Amino acid sequence: MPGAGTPFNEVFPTFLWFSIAIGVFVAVWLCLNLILFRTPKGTKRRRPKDAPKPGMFPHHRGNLRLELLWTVIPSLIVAYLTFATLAPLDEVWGTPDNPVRIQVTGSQWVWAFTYENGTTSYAHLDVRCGVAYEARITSTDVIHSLFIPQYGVKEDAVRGVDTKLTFTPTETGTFPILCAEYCGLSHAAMQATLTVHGPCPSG
Amino acid sequence: MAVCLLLVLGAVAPASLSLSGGISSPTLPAEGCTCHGGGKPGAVTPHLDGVPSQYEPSKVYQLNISIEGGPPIGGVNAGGFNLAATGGAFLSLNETTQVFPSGEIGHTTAGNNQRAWVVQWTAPAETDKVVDFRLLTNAVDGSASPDAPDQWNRATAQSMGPDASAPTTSTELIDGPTAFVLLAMAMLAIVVYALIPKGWSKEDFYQTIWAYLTTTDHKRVGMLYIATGFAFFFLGGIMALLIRVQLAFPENDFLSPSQYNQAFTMHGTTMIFLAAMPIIFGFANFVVPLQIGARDLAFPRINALGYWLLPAGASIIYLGLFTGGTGDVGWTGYPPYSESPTSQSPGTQLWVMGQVLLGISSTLTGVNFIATIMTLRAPGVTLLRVPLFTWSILITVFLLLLAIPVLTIALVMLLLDRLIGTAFFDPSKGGDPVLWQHLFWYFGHPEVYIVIIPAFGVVSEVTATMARRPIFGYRSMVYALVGLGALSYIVWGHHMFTSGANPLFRFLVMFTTMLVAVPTGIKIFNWLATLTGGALVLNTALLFSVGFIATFTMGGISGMFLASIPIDLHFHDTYFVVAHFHYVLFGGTIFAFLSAVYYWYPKITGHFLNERIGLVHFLGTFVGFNVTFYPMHELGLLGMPRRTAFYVAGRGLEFDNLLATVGAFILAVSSALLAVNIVYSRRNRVQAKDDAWESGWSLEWVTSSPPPEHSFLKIPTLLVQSEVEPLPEEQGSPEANPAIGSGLTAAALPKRSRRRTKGSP
Ligand code: HEM
Ligand SMILES: [Cu+2]
Ligand SMILES: [Cu+2]
Repeated sequence: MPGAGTPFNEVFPTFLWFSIAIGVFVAVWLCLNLILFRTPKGTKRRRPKDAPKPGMFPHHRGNLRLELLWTVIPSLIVAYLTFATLAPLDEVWGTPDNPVRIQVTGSQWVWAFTYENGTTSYAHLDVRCGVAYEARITSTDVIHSLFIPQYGVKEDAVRGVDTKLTFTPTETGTFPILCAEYCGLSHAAMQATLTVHGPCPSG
Repeated sequence: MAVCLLLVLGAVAPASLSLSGGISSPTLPAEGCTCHGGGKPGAVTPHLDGVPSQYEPSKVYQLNISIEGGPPIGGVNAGGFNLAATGGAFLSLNETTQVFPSGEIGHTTAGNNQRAWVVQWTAPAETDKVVDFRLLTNAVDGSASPDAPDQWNRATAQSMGPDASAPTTSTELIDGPTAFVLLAMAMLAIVVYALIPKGWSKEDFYQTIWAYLTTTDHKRVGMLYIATGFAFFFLGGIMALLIRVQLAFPENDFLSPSQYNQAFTMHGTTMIFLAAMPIIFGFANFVVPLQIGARDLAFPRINALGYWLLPAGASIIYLGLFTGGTGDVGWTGYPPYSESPTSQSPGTQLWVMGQVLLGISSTLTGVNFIATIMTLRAPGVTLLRVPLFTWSILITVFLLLLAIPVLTIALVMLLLDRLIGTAFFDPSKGGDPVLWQHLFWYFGHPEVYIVIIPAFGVVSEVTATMARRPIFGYRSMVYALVGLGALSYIVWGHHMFTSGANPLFRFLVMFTTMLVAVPTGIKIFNWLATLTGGALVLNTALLFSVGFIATFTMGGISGMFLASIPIDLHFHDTYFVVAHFHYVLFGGTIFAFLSAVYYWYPKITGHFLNERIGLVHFLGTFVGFNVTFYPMHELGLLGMPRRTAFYVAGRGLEFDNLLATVGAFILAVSSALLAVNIVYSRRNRVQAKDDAWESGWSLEWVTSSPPPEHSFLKIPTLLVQSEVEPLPEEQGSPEANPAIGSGLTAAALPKRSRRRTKGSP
């Protein structure tokens, strides 16, 4: 689960609340339907006035106002959710001021991290808390995807393409770095560790 | 087992990987590598000589390590190694090697400009051990840059103590899964045997087979499709169980990584192309001509050809099993992996070729249905009086016709890349791998609509019939279908939010994807409104449709999360996605078509399926489904990537994975109840009338159950109920009259409708 303050966590709760509301609405309506309109076996089955008959296109049934209602309201929700995504999206795509650059190179099946001073380490990345990092990602063979669950980010590593990803550690500790794009036999083993060194800036 | 364990080891303990002395780094002791991050694996041959096949306890052996091949030696560095063993102890003989705290041995900075080393190994004191060796080597050209033409590889060896029992690991690997599959096949054979009617002679048997082999009748072709679809559903299900057994526990080794990768590739490919699509085509074949009052499809022979290409394509895909492994590229087959030297198994080749054949099959079928629905409708069946299932098939085949050629073209490009060395998708030769993603998903997203839209059609039929009322908002249902079909072509980019595409493109796709919620919402609310005020017959068919509404809503909601880019950056390619698409594919398509089985079974066979077994079947499936797939949402949240052959312990993934596996077995057992039900109902027939549910309106309920050889004795005419027996408020309604007779009776005349529905509860 991504940590606090990530773009993921800025939008996720909004979506969650809307989902719960919509889900509960549908579930309640569905259950009420089953409870209220069920005609149990044995009792003489009620035959509605407009019950369809074979070979006849049925009576018209509908309600324009209701149908418009459940066209317009979802549209408004969609508009709102898109809007709610805009600010975090800026954060995802924006580049922080003076980030520390890390060159990340995926190869079957190991991650290589090259620091600004030119040193490279394999399957392990050291970062400092509170510093903004920009990872520039590429691959030497097939497509991989740099995935850091702690920051809720991932970006593909494609040979010949430079992609990037930014993150700012806010907590010290050791976290997994994974590969999220299937890259062959040992895809599952293509893991690395991320160590965040303190101290973290307070506030 | 050993290999798997070592892979895990390599994953969880970076310290156990080899050090590259040619690289200086401030955090040197904590890290390691199997290579310098560049070049190709497998291009050099590591040698590990001196490992005795049987060791003498505590004896000291000298091991020679060398690398054969590799790039010309350029700078100071030439190569490196790391050697691990599951027993005994290593000793460094000179300054070119060192023993790490983990007990492994590797080269030092001093030993970094050579490609051969000598080390010492002391055998364990125990007499009954089996010691596995794993050697990692890399050969470099000295530049130490990521683009260096490094070549690296791995070698293994084994040494046994005098009292060690013969290692069974490798045979074990094959036996577990194989036994599992054989057991399942035996069960299938029992079902097939039970389905053969009593008292059949050999002649009866051959005659029936011959009749099906040579048929062009839409009902029989439909049956063939449905049977084939469910057979592959069974096969895909077995692979799903293999996957789930493997993932039941962390770092499990029931399947090897290679077997696992084949299993999920074949599972996905089978479920989509060989199970879901054939089941849909089967019902379309059987039901659509009946619903529009036609005696057959427009081109019955093409229809039969389309069907027979299906087992042909499927066999080609599965032939991989006998060539040393099936395709292992996922159902999406992303290059450059799918054309890289690491996936050159013949299975992948066969996977591509089989897919091309299946594409041809679907295209033929698509053309046929368009022609049929546009030209063969009986009198009275105007386009806006076509039943919603047929409407959904019409939209589906349009999507199919536009989408499949794109896949076929992409597959042919991939074939050319693989076979004659073109470079459409190979970045090392200037190709563009992301182009495949665009092409694939330009097909792939409509494809997922191809499998869900017919499900919408089924649910529309079932809810209305079992509520004994007309469908609520027939017209808005049709418009929503058309809208969904159109939208499905402008959202493919949502599968590529992490592919580094243009931000504007990503933003637009995010918005169009969210828009999908609107027509989908219309459909869900219309179904709910259809049930409201009905006289619900709560049978298995309706239960599966109600289950569909519940689970599909859930899948739609998780789809909204995935549409939002900041959220998708975390969820993309994790188990959240696996949960999402199973909620729409299994909870959607499969639930709906199980509903279709119960709904049209009396029409197809003339007798009903048993309701009591049906109820258990539904409950088991519904519960098993949610126990299997609901926990996967959390697995995604915790960041478990999909398509991974194992996961490490300690990340909190154990419980949800175990739960999902338990659910999968509940699902498997309850799915078997469908077979039980079919056999049981054949032996205890409850005959069905023509109008089996007593409130279906479309023309399939006019003909007999089962339909006569040419489907209709006489082509029927579809009447309009409000003309034949108008409801009180329809008589003398000023707006109603002009519409009558002009063919527009179905037109929603808002005022009238508003007045009527107000009265209903
Ligand atoms: C018995 C029920 C099923 C179970 C337990 C199951 C389980 C799974 C699991 C665990 C995966 C993920 C494998 C991985 O990423 O490593 C998967 C993938 C997949 N499943 Fe299922 N599944 C079931 C039924 C279905 C059905 C009915 C469909 C479609 C109609 C389906 C379509 C897919 C597809 C398309 C994939 C993706 C394969 C890939 O990554 O290439 N599954 N399934
Ligand atoms: Cu990978
Ligand atoms: Cu899509």
